[in-house]
Amino acid sequence: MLTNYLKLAYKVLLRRKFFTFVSLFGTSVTLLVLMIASAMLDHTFAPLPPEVRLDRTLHVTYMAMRGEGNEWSGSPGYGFLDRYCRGIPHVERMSVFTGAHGASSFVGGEKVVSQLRHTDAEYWSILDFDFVAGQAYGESEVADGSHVAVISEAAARNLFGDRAAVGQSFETRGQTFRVIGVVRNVPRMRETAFADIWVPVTTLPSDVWKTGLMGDFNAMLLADSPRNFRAIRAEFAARLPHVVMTEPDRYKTMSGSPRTRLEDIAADAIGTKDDMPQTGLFIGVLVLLALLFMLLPAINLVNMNISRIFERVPEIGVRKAFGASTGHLVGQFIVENIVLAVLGGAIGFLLSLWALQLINGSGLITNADFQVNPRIFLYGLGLSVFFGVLSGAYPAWRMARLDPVEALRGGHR
Amino acid sequence: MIAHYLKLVWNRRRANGLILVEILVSFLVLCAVFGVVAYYAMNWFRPLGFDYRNVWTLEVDIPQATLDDREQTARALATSQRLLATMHDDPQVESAAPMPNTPYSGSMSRRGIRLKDGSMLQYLSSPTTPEGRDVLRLELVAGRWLEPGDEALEFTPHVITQDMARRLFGRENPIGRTIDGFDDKGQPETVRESWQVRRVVGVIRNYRKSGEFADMRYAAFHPQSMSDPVRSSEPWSYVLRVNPGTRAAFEERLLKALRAEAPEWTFGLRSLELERQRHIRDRLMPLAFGGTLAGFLILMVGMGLVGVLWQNVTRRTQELGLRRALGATASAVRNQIIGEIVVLTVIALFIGTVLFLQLPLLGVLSFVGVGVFVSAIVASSLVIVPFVIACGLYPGWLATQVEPAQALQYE
Repeated sequence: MLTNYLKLAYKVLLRRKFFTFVSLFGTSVTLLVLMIASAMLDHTFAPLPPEVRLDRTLHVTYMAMRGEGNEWSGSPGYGFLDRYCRGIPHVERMSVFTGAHGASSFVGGEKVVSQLRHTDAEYWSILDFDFVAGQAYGESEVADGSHVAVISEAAARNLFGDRAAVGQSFETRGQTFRVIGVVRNVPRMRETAFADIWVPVTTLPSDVWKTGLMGDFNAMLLADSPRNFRAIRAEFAARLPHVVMTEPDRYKTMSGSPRTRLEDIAADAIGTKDDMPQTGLFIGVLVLLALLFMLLPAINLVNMNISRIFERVPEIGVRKAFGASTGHLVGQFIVENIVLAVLGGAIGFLLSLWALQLINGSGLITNADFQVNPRIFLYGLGLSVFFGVLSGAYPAWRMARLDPVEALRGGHR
Repeated sequence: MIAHYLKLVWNRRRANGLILVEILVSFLVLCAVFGVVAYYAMNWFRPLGFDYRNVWTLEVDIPQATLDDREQTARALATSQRLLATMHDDPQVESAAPMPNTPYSGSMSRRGIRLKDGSMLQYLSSPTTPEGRDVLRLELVAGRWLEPGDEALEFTPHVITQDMARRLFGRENPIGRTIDGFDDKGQPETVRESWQVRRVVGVIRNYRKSGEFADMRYAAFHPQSMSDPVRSSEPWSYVLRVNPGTRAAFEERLLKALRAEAPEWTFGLRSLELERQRHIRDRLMPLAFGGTLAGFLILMVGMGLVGVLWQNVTRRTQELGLRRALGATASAVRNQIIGEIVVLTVIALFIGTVLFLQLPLLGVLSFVGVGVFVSAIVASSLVIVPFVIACGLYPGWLATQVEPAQALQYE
C-alpha cells in the first residue's frame, strides 16, 4: 500500500513541475530556518565539549538577598559558595569561578581584548578542554596564587603571533601571567566554559572577593546522576536559612536554587517568578514562535494543495467509485505531502550545512562551531513530517469529502 | 464593476478564504518589518543631542562586600577624585567627567516619578560634573549648565532635556521650577532633606543616550559630588574627550596610570566611535535578518499565488470560454482575473490594517508614535498591491488564451 502511495506521490510530483518547485522552495526555506534555529538551540543546551558533563551539572548563577525594601540579586559571591555550598550529598565535584570579562593587553602598541575568567582547580576536572599544548593549573598553583594562565588558541595568536605560547608571559589588568597551557577556542554559547584567558581565582587583586555573599561568582555542581538533582536542590534550600547574613539590618534572607543550563537560559530570556526560572513558559514561547513562523508557509502549501485536488478530481472520483474509503484517500494524500515535505526538508538540511558554515565563518558569534549532528538531523526530520501533516491534513479532508458522483462528472467548486 | 468582482469573489468564498488569509498574514509580516524600519528611520533623522567623536568611555568595576556603606562610599569617592585628576593629567585628555548612562551603553539608571495627572515619567538620571557638558558637547537651549559648587546648594539643580521640560511644564518657562513627584492619591511627595528638592536650572537639547535608532527623550543631569557620601555615591563610569587622532598608546598609558591609583579596581576603556559602530551593527543585523526572512516568505507566497490563480484559470475554462463566446475581449477577461485578486487583496489589507492598528489603540508599544504604524501600513500596501497584480499577470494572460470553442465543448 505504502509503495503504491509513494509511486503515486512520485508521479504527482512530476506532473506539475511548477507546483512541485514552489512547494519544494517553500518547504526547504522554512525548514532551513527551523534547522538553523534548532542547531543553535542544540549547541546551547546539549553537552558539547568542553561542557561534556552538562547533563549532570547544576549551576549556581543567581541568588537574591532580601530585607525590608531592599533587594540585591545577581551572581552569588565566593564567600557564600565556599562556605555554604560545599559538601552537598550526591555532588561529586564542585567548582567556583567568575564570569568572563573583557581584559585588555597591549602588544606592540596594539590593543588586544580577551575575555578573562578566574577559576579554581576543580574547574578543569568538570570541563573537558582540548589542550593543544601544556596543561591546566592545579590545586597547588591556586593555593599559592601563582600568576599562571591557560589561554585559547585565538588569544595565543593575538598575544604572541606564531611563536609557541607556553612559557611566554603577557600582561593584562596590570598583572603579568605566564602561559602554562593553550586550549582550542571555546564557542560563546558554552556559558561556563567560554573565555580566552583562564587564571587562578587567587590572583584577583583585592581580598574583598573572599567574603562576599553576593559578587561575581558562579558555581558548577557535578551530580553523580541527573536523578539526584532534586535531592541536591533540597539540601541547598535547607542550608539557606543557616546563612549568616553580613548586613542583617539590610538583608534578612537569601534565596535561589541551582539551575540546569535550560533553566539558566529561560531565566535570562523571560525572567523568574519567585526566583524560579519559568522553563515551561520559555519552551512554550519557543514552540509558539516556531509555529507562527510555519504559519504562512503552511497556509501557502494548503492553498496550493487544495488547488491541486481539483486537478485530480476525476482520479478521486474513480477511486471513490471503486470503493476507496475516506481513510485511504486521506492517508494517500498525507503520505504524498509528507514525501514532499521530507524532500524539501532534505534540501533544507543540505542548505543548512552551508548556512551554518557561513555563520561559523562570519564571526557574528565568537568561536561559533555549529555542526550538524544526528540529533539535529532527527529534529529536522521531525519538523519536516510535522510540517507535512500540518499542511496536508486540511486538503486531505477536503478531498475525502468530495461527492463521487460530482467528482466523476468533473464538477467544481 | 467592483461590485461585480466582489460578487465573483464571494461566490467562490471558500477557495478565496485561504488566499485572503495568506495575503493578510503576508501583509502583517510586512507591516512588522516596515514598522521597525519606519521607527528606526524616524529616529535616525532627529538630532542626537551629543557629539560622539573623539570621546572615550571609562567603566570602573569596584569590588564591594556590601552596598550603601557610607564609609566605604567616602573612600571610593576619594579614590574616584584621584582618578579624575589622573585623567585630566593625561596630555591627550581635553576634559573628563563622571557620567552614568554613557551613550550607546546598556547601562540605564532611570528614575520614575508620578506626575500630578497620575502618569509616570521615566527619565535618565545622570549625576555629573560641570565638565560633562564639554565632553559630550551637550547643547544648552535655556538657563544655565551645572557649575562648580552646585553639589553643595540647598537644593539639587537639574538640567533637563527639552522634551522633559515640555512634558513637565508644557509651554511655561521651566527655569526655576521644581520637579515634584506625587503619590497615587495625587498628593505631593514630601522630601526628607531640603537638598532633595529638584529644581530646574537649565534646558538642553534632547540627549539620546541610546543612540540614533532609539527614542529616549527624557533625561536629567544633576551634580555629582566627589566628596559627600550622603548626596552622591561613587561614579562607575566616565566620559573623556581626547585630542583627535588618539590611539592605543593612549589607552595603555591611561589604564596604567589609573591602575596605579586604584590597584583593586578594574577598568574598561572604550572608544565611543567604535561603540557606536557596534551599536548600529547590532541594531541593523537582526533587521536585515528579519527582512531577508520576510522577503523569502513573500516570494514564496507570490509563487504560491501564481500557482493557485493558474489552477483557477484552468478550472474555470468553461466560464471564461463562455464569456469570450459572448463577446468579451481578451483584456476584459484578463482584467477580471486580476480584478478579482485585487479585490481580495483590498479586503485583506482592510482587515490587516484594522488588526495592526489595534497595537497603538490598545497602548501596546506606547513609545512608538502613530506615525510609525501609519507609515508601516502605507509602505506594506504599496508593496503588496503591485506584487499581487504582478502575480496575476501570467494567469490573466493564460485566461485570454482560452478558445471559446474548446471551452464550450469541454463538457
